[in-house]
Amino acid sequence: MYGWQGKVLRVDLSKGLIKRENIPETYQSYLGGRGLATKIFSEEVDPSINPLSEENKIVLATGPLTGTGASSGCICSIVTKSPLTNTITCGQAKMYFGAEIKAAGYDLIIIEGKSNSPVMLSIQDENIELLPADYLWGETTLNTENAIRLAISDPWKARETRILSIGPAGERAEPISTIITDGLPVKNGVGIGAIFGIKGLKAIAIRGTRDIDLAYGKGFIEAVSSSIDTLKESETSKEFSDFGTYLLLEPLVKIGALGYENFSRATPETVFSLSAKVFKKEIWKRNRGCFSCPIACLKQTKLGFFPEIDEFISLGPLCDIINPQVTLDAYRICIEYGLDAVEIGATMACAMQLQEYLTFGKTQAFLETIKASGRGEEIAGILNKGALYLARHFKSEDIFLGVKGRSIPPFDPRIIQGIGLQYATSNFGATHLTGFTLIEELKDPSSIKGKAKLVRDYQDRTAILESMGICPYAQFFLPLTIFIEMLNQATGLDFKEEKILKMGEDIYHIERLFNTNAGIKNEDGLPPKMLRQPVNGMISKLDKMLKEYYELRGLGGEE
Amino acid sequence: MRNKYSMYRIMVDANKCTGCRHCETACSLTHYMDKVNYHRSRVRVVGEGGQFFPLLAGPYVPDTQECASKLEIVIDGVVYDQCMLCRASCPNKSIFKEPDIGIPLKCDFCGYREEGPACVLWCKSGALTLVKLER
Repeated sequence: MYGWQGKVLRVDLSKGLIKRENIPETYQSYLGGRGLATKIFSEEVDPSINPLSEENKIVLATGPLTGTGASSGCICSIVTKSPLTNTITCGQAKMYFGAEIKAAGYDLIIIEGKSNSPVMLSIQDENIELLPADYLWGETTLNTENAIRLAISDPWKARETRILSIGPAGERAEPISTIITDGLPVKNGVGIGAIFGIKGLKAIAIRGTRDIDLAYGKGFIEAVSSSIDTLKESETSKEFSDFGTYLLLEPLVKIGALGYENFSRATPETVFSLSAKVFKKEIWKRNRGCFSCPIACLKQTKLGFFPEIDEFISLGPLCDIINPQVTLDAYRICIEYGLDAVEIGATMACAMQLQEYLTFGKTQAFLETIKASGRGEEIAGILNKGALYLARHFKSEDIFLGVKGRSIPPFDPRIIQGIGLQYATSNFGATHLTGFTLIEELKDPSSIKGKAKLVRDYQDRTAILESMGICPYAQFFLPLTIFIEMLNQATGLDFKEEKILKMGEDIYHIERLFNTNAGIKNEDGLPPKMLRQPVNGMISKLDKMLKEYYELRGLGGEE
Repeated sequence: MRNKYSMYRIMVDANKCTGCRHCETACSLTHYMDKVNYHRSRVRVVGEGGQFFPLLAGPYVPDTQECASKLEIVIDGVVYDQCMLCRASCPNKSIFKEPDIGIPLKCDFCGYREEGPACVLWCKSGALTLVKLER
């Protein structure tokens, strides 16, 4: 078997049992990563369960290209049922964690059951142990990583060990908690931290020394080299390396698409002071790349990572905080306590709009509240269940802006039409990450022509890239064919583009079917405010796009 | 391309390194053709003091008794462990050893290749560049 390692690790926390199994035979139809994990999860888990019950499972899956050195091949997908949205969800662990799972000789790790006391899963090739983690319980994610590394006597081995851990918010099983690896939150990971916490799994530490065998090494090297040459020639990829996702900041501000003060007002001029060039000069120290990524879009500051644009706006303009330093501090607190930056930002913006506990633009109270909510003080009971809970608590549900229980990211769907359709039809609740149409839409944000097809194509392509183990950001600069070439060279199989895209569509349908069986029906929509209350004279024309989208997907209107 | 009086060297600019470790996979793939394993690589990226340092495996040092690299260097208030940044393949380190038989590994510039070493070709950040020294 080439590309894949062919082994699955199944960890039963209830019985403390660890089994090594062969990869399911369907692996070639779903590749791995998000696809295979979704398939396994939907087969093994009853959709109607309570996400916080013992029956819920966590599937961590790498793709055939993860860790092989394929450009941007760093992704480990984490599939579970989310307590925030009650839907299936899939997070992407970046940095080096996925590559280390492959190096340890596994494709998938399945975690089931529930431990009575805190444990840590330690994996060193074939030596797999469940270690007591009482001494780590209550620690922040950064302290956890340091403590685990300090216990390893060899400094080189300590550096090679990769850790996935939850913070105190995850331990309390709060729906807006996420997971952290190497100081970077898992993308799209909101809710997954709670499942780790309820299962008593504080951290996974992994180090591997195994080979990944490839079918045609020479052809693979050529395919990767050609992708690097393409990147070297492309101007936009250079800009993306320089500015990361902040490439979007200026255009978004210009068309007024940033959510300001919980989308209640049009963007004022003060927001123009935020500029990627200033950040680069004053705050960013260097570019950071995940495993084998030639793009390197992440930004490092003096202390840890700088938030990506969605997190930055949620913890910034959405709460009327126009000070990058304050946002950075807030983001660091989120990482330490394992909170999802987008969801906590949106929740606090709701609280600010209701004038409960907080008011817009008050930085001191803003920072103290995040910290209090991370520590689990009184206010956390209301904030850490997400914006929908908060809005219901104060009996003003119209203030909640989200889909399927998850707040929309701070890009206004009234200004950019296609992204609204993406929020509505995403299987994980409102997120832009499974169909990042923003860059393409900037040319023509207000039109709805062809947007349904655009959204569908992005959703399928993202699903398939995450199944291969490739970071979805790579699709902006490299064509899918180049990754299919890498896949064919690495695995020795012959995949065609048409078949690959069909797989992407299959994955979408499996996720959707799981949600339908979980009782999520007719929830493809946008908050009424986005459909009725105009900003700059524009509203979301969701209905027309949705109809076209259902036709493309072959979904007979409403199911 | 190569004349008698010139010499090639890999120049390392740690300020540009993004820590992506693409060079490690390039090295392992080039030397073993069909295997990817960063433990087999002759270049390793070490994170130290909030920065990344690509280390190209240097000569094997059998006797470390008189090793002068066990110092701590302070630059701009940041403490760096010199031993971590030393590129020698030495008995006290667990890197730069062939995992199967334990013999020390050393960078060989991928042999005489027209296109240059694999790690330089795959380093897009510009941390590794091939320079020609002439005299």
